Amino acid sequence: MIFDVQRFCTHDGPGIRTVVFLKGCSMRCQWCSNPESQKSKPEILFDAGLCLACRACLNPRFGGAMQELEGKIQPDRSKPVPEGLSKVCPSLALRVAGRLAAPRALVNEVCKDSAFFVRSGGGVTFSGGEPLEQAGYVLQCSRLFQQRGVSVAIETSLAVEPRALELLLGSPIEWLVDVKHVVPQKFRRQTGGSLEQVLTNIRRVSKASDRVTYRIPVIPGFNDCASEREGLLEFLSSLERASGGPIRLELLPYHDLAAGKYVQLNRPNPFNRKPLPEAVVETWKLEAETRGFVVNRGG
Amino acid sequence: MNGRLTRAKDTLLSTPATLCPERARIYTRVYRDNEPLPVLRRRSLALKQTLQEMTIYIEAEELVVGNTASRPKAAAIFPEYAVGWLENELEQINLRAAEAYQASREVKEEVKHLLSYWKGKTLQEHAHALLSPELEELLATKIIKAEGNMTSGDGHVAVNLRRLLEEGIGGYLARVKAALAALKPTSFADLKKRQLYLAMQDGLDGLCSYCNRYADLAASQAASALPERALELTVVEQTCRAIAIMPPQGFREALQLCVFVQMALQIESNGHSVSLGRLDNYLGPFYDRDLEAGRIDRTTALELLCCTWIKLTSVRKVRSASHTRTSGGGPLYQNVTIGGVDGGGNDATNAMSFLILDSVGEMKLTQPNLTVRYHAGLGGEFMAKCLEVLAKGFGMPAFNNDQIIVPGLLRLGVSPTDARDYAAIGCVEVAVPGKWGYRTTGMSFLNLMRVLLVTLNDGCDPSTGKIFLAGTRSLNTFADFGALMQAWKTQVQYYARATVAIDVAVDTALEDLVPDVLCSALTDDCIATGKHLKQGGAVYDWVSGLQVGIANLGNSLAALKKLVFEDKVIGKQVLLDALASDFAGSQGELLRLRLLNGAPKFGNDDDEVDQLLVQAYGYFIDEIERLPNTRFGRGPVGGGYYPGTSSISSNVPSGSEVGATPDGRHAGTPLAEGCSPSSGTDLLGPTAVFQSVAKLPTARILGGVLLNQKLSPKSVENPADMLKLEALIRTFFDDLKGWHVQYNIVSRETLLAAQKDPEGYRDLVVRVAGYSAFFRDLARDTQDDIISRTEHRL
Repeated sequence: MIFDVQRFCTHDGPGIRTVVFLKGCSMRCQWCSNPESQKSKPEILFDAGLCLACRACLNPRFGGAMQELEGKIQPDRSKPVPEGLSKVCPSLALRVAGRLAAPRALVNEVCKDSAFFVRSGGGVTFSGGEPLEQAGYVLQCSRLFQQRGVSVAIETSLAVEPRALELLLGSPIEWLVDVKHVVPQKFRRQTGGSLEQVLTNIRRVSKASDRVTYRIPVIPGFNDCASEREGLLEFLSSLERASGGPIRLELLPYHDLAAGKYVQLNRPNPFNRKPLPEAVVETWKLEAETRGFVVNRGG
Repeated sequence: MNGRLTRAKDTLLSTPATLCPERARIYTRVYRDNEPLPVLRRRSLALKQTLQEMTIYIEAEELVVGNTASRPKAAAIFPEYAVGWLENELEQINLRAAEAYQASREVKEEVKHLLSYWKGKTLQEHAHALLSPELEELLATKIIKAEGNMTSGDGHVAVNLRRLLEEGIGGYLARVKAALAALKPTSFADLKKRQLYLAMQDGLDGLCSYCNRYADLAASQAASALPERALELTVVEQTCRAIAIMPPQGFREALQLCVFVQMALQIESNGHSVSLGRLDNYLGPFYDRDLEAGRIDRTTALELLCCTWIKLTSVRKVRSASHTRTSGGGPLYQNVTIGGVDGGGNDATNAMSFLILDSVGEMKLTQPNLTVRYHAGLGGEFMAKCLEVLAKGFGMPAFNNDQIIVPGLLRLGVSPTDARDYAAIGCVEVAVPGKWGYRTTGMSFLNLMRVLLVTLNDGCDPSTGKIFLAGTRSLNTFADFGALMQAWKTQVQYYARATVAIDVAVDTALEDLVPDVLCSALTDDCIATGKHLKQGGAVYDWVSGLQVGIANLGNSLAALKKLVFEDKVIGKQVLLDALASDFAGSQGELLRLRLLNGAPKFGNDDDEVDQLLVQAYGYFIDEIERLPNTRFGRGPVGGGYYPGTSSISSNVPSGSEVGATPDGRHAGTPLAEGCSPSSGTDLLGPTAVFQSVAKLPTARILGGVLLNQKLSPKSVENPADMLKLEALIRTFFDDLKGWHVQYNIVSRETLLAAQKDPEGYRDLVVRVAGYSAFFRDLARDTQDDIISRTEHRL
């Protein structure tokens, strides 16, 4: 299940890339910028402001996935999202996140830009959601991509069963690994995940692959204070790594661009904060560089 | 920018545009005094007299001299082309919303008086006299527009500066004299040639005097100047004197001669897009020699180039209000082309290429219009420098791709050496400089969306009720989409022929009344053949009109095919009614959104729509390529047409003249610009746009495949992103064989702020469409159109 394919992405691995967003993630990070990526089933995004009340979506063939309650057209999220609903809305007030894409079809779609990949050193990036939740699918696609000379990157939080990771460790993959926190309670409270599992996986991938970039989402009130920063950087420094080169680190400062999506999903936004001051991000960068890391700003 | 340049730029920006009656005064007098002479001679004498008599000036700190009218940013008047519009608009010309010109009461009165002589004698009136009633009626509907050809003439030409720099004015004069001496007095043909040669001699004599007058002026100013300035003026004097007859010896002289010619050509003709060709290639050897001999250093050369761009930007041509709408911002499109390959196919970039790039980037003016000829062997250092200048955000340089254009020219029959020597003319269109006739593109616009609406309505133009080609049936009666395409083919081929029919009349009038003698003398092989450009004196001669609404055509056809014929979710009559009412009512709006969102759009790498456009535009291209221009069979290689999409800012006025269209576009709103996607409909980023555009038969579209992209300034902030931008452009050109791309790198916020505070942003230069202009000089609707274009981010 994927929910988007974005061409010409330049901050998700080397070169010019197409990013495939997979749907479904076990974590519930409060600052998640793709809330439509979390659940593993298709979901309706509904922007009431664009709705012209044409009622095309209320057609019985859609099984009541959209309903009219007290004069307002809105999704009935208890119903499954039927085939064809995504194309019915003329004003795009209603969109559906989540579709199945056969590996071969996906590869063909992505390879439209292969000329740009070759010249820029780019390729395809699996993102999410959590791509390793669909490790089998990713593996299948990756093999097809590699047959066509397209390099593969994976953006992952590694909050998955170790065997999902093992499935992919044998493939030549560019790993973009999230490192969010080093304190288990805080990690669980704000992401819903198990830090122990994540850290074990990070250690595993660092040891097994020499193509790892670590990515720290710098989140206000979660991991942006000095001790948390030091803890994270120290954790990275202490990693046993297959790569002999310097640690490649990307900082992803929190942004609040996802607020609209929460509204369209009819979900409360658990984390509506102001973006970080530039100085904070600069400090992170300097501190990391002092440790000999190669630091980029992403996001 | 040093102090001299900063002051000069500032003065230029704060100088108001004015009208200058001098040229009109002299031309009127000479024409009137020489009525028995053939037109050629009256024109050549008038040009010579103007060059000998007009006010010339040297501004306080100038190092490069030359002017077309009595003050900086003054526009000369060309009454022999047209007087009607100027008579009507003269009183209000200082109050126009876009491109206002100041003129005193005395100037206005004098101009009015001068115009009275020309009534009934102008190009525009003569051209109309040659048009059939049917074509007149067609022009009145504005489905085809050719006003610019009649009020401004041809332009879009580059003379053979390379040869002029080798031979000098004297060399050209000698060739003309030798040709004169070889004529047989008993021959009818030679009698005609004699008039041409005499006229060329006048033009070249005038140019020679023009050089000498600046030398004299510099000398007299030096006499009373402070020592430092006196020294500068003495150099100016020596430079101008040295090139009046003899070929230039050094870089400074070569550059100054190019500027003089550029000025003189724009005094001779009212056409714009008079271009300089491959200036790096012409000036490079002079610079290298000077550098080696220690006669010049890099800083001095850079400053002289900067001074030249100020000169070019100070030239003005006054246009009718309707004309200013199609070329917003008063551009003169004086193109300079750099880079590219040499005759052997190797990289031709030299030290001068870098200097030109640097100097244009330093001045950030609207002139010259800088084009870089891209090819696979273009060095990384040069490419990086191009992107560095591009990142300054004033829309230059634009890129043309040798890898598709050279084969395109070869396909026409241009020789390999000449094909590799092409340059951009005006905006993006191309020609072999110094060997090609006028109007490689421009000045005649076909509104494709008007033709599509005609196709849906059985040949009837819904805006005017006129029928030009009946019997192709209406949307209601098309059994399937194929029938619609057949009707489109019939209609668009009719209109293709109509554009040429109008051109034939206008070209004939141009040949009869306003032949250019100096421009002809400086273009090969007019002297050798004894023919001026309009008679077929150029080595090559193809022209192109411009087709407007390319993306809208594809999008409309795709919506019709999918929603009306395949899915049948929109009824035929329902659609016709909705278009006629501009999607009135809530049902109309729903239908519009379905057209907009429910069918594929050009620019998203979707074959459904891209291939439809290829087919539909292909019908036009097939027809236009079959048609001859007025020089066919009279000498030049070619003598035909090719298509072109470098339709400058005409997408805005053309859109204002089209009703609602099946792509979900509201009546009166802008059409898509050039070959770019319709604003806001390219949703998949620049790679998808490139893929779509590259599917068009671009090797045939030598009139230009105009593609504008807008990038967020954030996209070019760090070196890694610049490398990605380079990879993006290289892939488009090397792999997809893209034809051209140009960039606007300016934020939406900046543009909105500039709309609110034009004075605070008076130096803001933006890419319009094939050229850059000062944002504040653009009409509001063109400003809005630029703001609404899709912005990509890296």
